[in-house]
Amino acid sequence: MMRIAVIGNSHATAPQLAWYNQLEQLRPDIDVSFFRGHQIGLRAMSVEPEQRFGCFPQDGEDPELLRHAMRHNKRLSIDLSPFAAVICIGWWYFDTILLMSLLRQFEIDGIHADAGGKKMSRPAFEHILAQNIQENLPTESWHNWTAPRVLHVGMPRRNETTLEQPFNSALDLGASAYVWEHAADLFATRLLECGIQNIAQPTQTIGEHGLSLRQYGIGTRKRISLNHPVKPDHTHMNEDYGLLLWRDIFAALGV
Amino acid sequence: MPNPYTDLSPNAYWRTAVAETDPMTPGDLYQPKFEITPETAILTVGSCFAQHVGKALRGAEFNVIDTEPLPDAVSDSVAQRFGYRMYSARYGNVYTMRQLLQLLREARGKFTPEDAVWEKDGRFFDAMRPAVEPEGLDTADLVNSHRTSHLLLTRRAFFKADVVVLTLGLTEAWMHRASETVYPTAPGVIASAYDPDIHVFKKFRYDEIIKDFLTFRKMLQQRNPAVKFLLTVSPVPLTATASGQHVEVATAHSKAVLRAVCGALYDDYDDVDYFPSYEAITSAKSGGAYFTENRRSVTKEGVAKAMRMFLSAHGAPVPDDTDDAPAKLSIPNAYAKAEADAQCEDVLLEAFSK
Repeated sequence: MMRIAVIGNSHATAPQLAWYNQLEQLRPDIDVSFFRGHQIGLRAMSVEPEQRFGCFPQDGEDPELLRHAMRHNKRLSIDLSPFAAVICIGWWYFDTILLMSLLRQFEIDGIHADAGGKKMSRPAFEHILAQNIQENLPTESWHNWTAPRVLHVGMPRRNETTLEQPFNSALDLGASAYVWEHAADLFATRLLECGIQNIAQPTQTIGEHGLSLRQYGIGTRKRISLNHPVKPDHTHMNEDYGLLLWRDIFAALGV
Repeated sequence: MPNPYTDLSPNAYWRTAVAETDPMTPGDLYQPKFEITPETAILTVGSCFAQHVGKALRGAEFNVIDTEPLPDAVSDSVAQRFGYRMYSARYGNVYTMRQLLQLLREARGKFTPEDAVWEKDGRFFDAMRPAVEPEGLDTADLVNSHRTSHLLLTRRAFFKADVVVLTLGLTEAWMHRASETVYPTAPGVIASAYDPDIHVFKKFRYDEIIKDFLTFRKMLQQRNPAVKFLLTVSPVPLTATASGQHVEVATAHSKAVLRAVCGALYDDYDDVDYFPSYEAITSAKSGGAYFTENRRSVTKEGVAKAMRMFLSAHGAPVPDDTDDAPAKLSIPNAYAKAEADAQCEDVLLEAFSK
């Protein structure tokens, strides 16, 4: 039996739903354990040399962080050493809010058409992006693991429904799609340099505007407790999306 | 009264104001002529020392205009590498009064610089602010397009200002011979190449600087009659001089002229004040302790002392004193730190010394 650990924020809800509702029965050869938390909580946690991830009271961790781990996992940490693979979902990723903010504020050379607005050079943009990616890469304690292997699943692209938000109505869709793809490619490259394989967003979930197709945003569960659907949710994906992710994860693991 | 010096305040006498005071405390050098409040819209501009002024004002939550802001998530190091968060628009360092006047005139559509795009190794640079894009742009057209956009934002910054904080840095500059377009750097330092048939060295004189300032002031006051000016003189000596004189003599001349300009404007105009950062840092009583090993760059402690004096005079919260131990010339990192904190094109001239 292959044991897989999933450490994820709210973006792990889609694969978690897919696993419990559809795949668990079909794949008795695979055992999946989930360790959940929100973005800030997971990033505040650490991985010890013995491959145990979480929060550790003996290190004087913030009591709020301990409560957070207990609330979502009924445990403070998870021993990753028995697993064949660790899938980290959604909590290492470039700052999408920053990138979208730059797209709204500036015409970036080679990305936006020149419409006479406030301009940003391509070198400036690339340096900002590189800094953004550098700051969001996993810490060195995650680098170059061979047993277990570490895979990464990024945050999905915003749903097409995001265009219904007033502040996005003027968003240059071509530029947005390009920037997201460019940033995701750079992030995947940097991850690979850290010995971490990236699982890209399944191509059939991406629409012509470069955003996630509307259908994958229907019936999402934003909260990590699984029980709280939140609408409108332009950010999270549903169980169908989770199913496609598992297909690609299994392919990467050869199972 | 036996003589006019009998009943002056202690700060009028060298012995009580300087000789017998703490050498690392500037004292009450600055009594503001006008109030600057957190609501006052401040435009900062000038030589690279002015970056420290702007940074301190922003840190103290003064209302420093920034018409080309970046999201907070972008680090200062990346932002400043590309000319953001240095001044109220992305015009880079403005070393001479003529360059500032030229910038305002260009922003108002009253001036077009000549030889304004420089090339190096197939990359193109805005000659009026070559350091804000250190890697250059792909084409000359792109440089022009960026400049057009930038000038709109520069004009907006100038017209929003209640107070212009201006640090005068240099009297020496390089110009386009035919048009008298002034550049912030010598041709060939960052891009382009020096051609004596096209470019000419210029040393601005006292009367020229006064005249340029008054023209600048008049142009701004046509739009906003209430705008005020706070002048400072950069305490940073010249990196190099093209005057033919010893660099130390040229520095003394340059600083004396700029200081005299400030003094005359301070005396003559109620809307012009002078902030003595130059005196705070170069004071005889500090014995050069606010300069790093190269005797040129100002230590971060020196900058902090000067800015603390400013903030205190304007009733702003003064940063904690804990990291402000007296400067020591033996601290090797002080030079690197001070240089790293301010983007200065003229430092590049050092590379040409033999």
